[in-house]
Amino acid sequence: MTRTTVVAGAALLAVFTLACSSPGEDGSGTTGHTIRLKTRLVSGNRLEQAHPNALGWQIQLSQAYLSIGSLYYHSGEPLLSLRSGTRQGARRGAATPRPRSGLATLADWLVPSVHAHPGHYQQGAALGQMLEPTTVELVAGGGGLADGEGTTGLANSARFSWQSPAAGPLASALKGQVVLTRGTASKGSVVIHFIAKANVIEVRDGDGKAEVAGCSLGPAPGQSGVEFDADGTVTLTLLPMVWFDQVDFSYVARGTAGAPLPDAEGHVDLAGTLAWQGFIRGVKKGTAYQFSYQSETK
Amino acid sequence: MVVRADEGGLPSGAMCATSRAAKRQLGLLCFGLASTAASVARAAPEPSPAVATESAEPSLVVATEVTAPPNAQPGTAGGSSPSEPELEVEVVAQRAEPQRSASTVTRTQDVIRAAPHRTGGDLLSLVPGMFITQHSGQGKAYQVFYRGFDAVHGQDLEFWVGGAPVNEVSNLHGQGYADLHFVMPEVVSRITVLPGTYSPEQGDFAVAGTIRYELGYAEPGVTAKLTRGSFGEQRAFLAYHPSGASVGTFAAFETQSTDGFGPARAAKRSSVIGQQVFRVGEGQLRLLATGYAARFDSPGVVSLREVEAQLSTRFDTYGIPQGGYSSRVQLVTEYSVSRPGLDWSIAPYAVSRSLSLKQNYTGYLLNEQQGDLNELSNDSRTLGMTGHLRQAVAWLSSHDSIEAGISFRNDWTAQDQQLLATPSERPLATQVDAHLRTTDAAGWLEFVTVPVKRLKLRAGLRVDSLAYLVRDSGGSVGQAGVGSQASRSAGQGGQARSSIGTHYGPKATADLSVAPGLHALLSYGEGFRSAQARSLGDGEVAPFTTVQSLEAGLRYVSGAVGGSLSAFRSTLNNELVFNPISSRNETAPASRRLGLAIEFVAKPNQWFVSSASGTFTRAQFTQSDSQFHEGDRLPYVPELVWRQDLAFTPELGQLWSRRLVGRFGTALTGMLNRPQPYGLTGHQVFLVDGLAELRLRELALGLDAFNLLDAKWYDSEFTYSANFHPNTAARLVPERYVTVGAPRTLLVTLSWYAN
Repeated sequence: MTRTTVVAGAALLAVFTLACSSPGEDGSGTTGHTIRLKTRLVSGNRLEQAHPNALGWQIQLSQAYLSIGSLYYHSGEPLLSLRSGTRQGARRGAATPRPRSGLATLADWLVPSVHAHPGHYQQGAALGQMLEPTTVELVAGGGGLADGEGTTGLANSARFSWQSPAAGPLASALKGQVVLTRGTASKGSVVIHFIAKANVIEVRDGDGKAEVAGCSLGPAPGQSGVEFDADGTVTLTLLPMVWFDQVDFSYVARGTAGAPLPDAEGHVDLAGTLAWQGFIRGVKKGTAYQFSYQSETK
Repeated sequence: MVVRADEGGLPSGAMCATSRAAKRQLGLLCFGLASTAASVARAAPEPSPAVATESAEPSLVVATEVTAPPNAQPGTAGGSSPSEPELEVEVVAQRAEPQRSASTVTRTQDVIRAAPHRTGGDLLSLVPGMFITQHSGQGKAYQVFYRGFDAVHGQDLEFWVGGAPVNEVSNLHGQGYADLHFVMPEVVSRITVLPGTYSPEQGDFAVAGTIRYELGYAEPGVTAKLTRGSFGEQRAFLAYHPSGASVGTFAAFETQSTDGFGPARAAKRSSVIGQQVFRVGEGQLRLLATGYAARFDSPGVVSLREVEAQLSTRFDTYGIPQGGYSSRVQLVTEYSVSRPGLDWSIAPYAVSRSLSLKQNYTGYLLNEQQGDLNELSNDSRTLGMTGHLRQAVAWLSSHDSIEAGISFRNDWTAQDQQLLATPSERPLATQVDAHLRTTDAAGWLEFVTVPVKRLKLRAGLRVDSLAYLVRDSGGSVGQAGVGSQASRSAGQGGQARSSIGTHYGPKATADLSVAPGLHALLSYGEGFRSAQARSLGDGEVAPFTTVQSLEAGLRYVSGAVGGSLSAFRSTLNNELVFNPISSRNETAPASRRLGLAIEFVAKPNQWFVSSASGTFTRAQFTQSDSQFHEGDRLPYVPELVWRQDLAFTPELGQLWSRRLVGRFGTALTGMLNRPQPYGLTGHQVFLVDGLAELRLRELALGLDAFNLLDAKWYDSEFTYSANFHPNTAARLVPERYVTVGAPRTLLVTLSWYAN
């Protein structure tokens, strides 16, 4: 009987061991894992140069102070972005990719698609975040922000938020604003030294939040769809020229009716003018905030 | 004094061996199952040497009830003097669960009383492979982890108490919600555990298995207990059991309250249970009535990151008012007849349940201004019935039998959920407003045959037909009408949807007697869990979560030792898993559990009992979706669970002409490898409970210690998105939230036994 028991018990153990070691499954963990995300801020425009806007003004910034709040990275599709060519999901831990037909692939190659999410932005799951508010001077080159954290998965969009009250080395210089710029706009012989600024109330979106949601997040600025697969760096590429793209400085040109007077340094504050309204619209545009991710494994 | 000889738990052979060893002192009797059932006999203290043996189909438990003389020492059936008068022995036949798998076990009062237990639900920790947590206050149903299943509050485990189902169909808080707080631990005479889905009696929710509580109270006369202890805990317990009556005849009452071991943890409950067993004709009639109500606060969760960063203490709360109210009324009537070659029963029941829960697990995640606090209410009325007939047939052998059974339950459920503002609790929106009518009608058939010597085969089929009528009166969010196609108006702006579905569940067991006392069993079964009624569309064929269970194992019964070793496998066609993104249970891909379980009970003598078990399970997804992937482990499900109960009940001497009897017990509970999402692992748990009691016939003084070593442990751990700090940067990436386990708790109980 004892022998029978031992044999039967050993057989059970063997069966169990074999059953638990199915080939091709490491069974090492649950879905995904947590990652660290360094954060970097750069300007997408060479601010030492003048850039033309859509209304023919040449704009050059001499100062761009920002009060930046939390950054979030989401799975939801961005409001507007170029579809990334690396929307893969085949690696372990990613969603199974949907097969695309050859015709669709050809069409994508011939005419790069621009994805516009129908209706309201759906942010989906949060895959990463940077929660440390700070202030930056963009003309000086931006730089590193605090590290963030996240989880593996397919990220498509990001959310930029303004911080008020400001926290960081430029908090007092911002004087209660979340964005404060100085620069020069010129068109022909007209040269205007301006101040464009906005506080936290003025940058609120339709939901009353001081943030810009639905920004693109991809392997490169302007693209969407990237796999968070390991620790890496998220780069926020700011395009301040988008802010000024629809600003008509003729409303504040000297001699124009209702134009504000320049301050002692000769700067005209755009606040309250039609030019300022164009600036505010630009500050709220998601295309001014482009996020990209680079994995440390690459 | 009652002796039960049955084939579950400590096997009948072992029980009788114990009985034989102690029979001179205790007057314990063992009868063969084929002996005259439901009879009253006069027996001398020196009993018949008959040993309980399996009949052709050992479906009977013979409860031998010995009426103790009035002057008998409590805890015994009679004195040791050979000159004592004859004992009146009442033999009550009860139906027992046949051994359908190697790991089918029972736990009887000797094991139940080995360690301290506060509630009937607390007794689940005795079930081999089970780990229980209580994450929302004393009064909310336990969250149950069993053999690789996160059964949540009962979705994967079928519970019966006293012949009535406990699982609530389509409960708004969780499918199969099963609250066992209405049962006092003292009146649970036996717990039967059926892992897997191998019995045709197992119906809805029996995915991981079935747990059945039988009620009884053996202490003759009146029992009164008063308990005081840590954190303002108080308890009064009163019970009586007529001397000479069946152990099933008793009444009990308890009321308990505590301030809790931290803020927002106060709780109160009261419960009454009465049961009477009558002899009617050739059978017996059992009437059971229970009543219960409880109110409890809940601290909710706390961020593990904040605790570890010492931004808050383990016992802190976020100050959001949470808690609940729970009540239950239950009536059961059972008439059963057992005689050689035939037994049958019919048991109608009625249950009325109310549950109200106020909860907020996500803080201000969804509503940054007003918060995510919601209050749900789920009221249900259940009418049902079970019945069976088993009779001997002579097909392949004289030991063959056939059994047919029925099961029916109808539930009327009203449920609603309101979104409340924090902290004013002003209603903001109605999230759910629905009335459900659900029906489960089932029948089964099972054949048992012994084709060759030492081999017993069982084969059965259970068919369940489930029907639903949902009147959805709307709600701003949270409507679960997946693919719903309204076919007609329900009136008052509501929507009526109906659906029906049928499940066929084959079962089979092969039981080979390898050697004396040693059985090898191979079991297979298919079971199901019904869908949440509100998730069904009109005309939709009610989908089921189906499970296939397979187990191979050895069961050994010899003398005072019994135990089993088994390997098991369960596969599910889909899962219901807590989703860290949405912060609620959501459908997940198919999964598989593979495990190994070992358990034993040893009762070498009358004053010592040891029970131990260990279960290892690997639970993995076998398919992928956008959230979970093939090969990944199921989150939250502990892989290794073990439990050991030890009890000593020595006679310490004589004092004032009374015997001084001690009762000392410990329980060790361990849980290892609780996977969390994102490759993380939860904290391990190792807890020690203990008790010590001295009894001098009428009086007893006892000390119960829970978490004796004051382990700093986490009862529950979840990884998900939440935001408990409004007006700060929300932490949206899923992180760990925990509920804290109770610290060391001491309770002193003074008991008075009047007989």
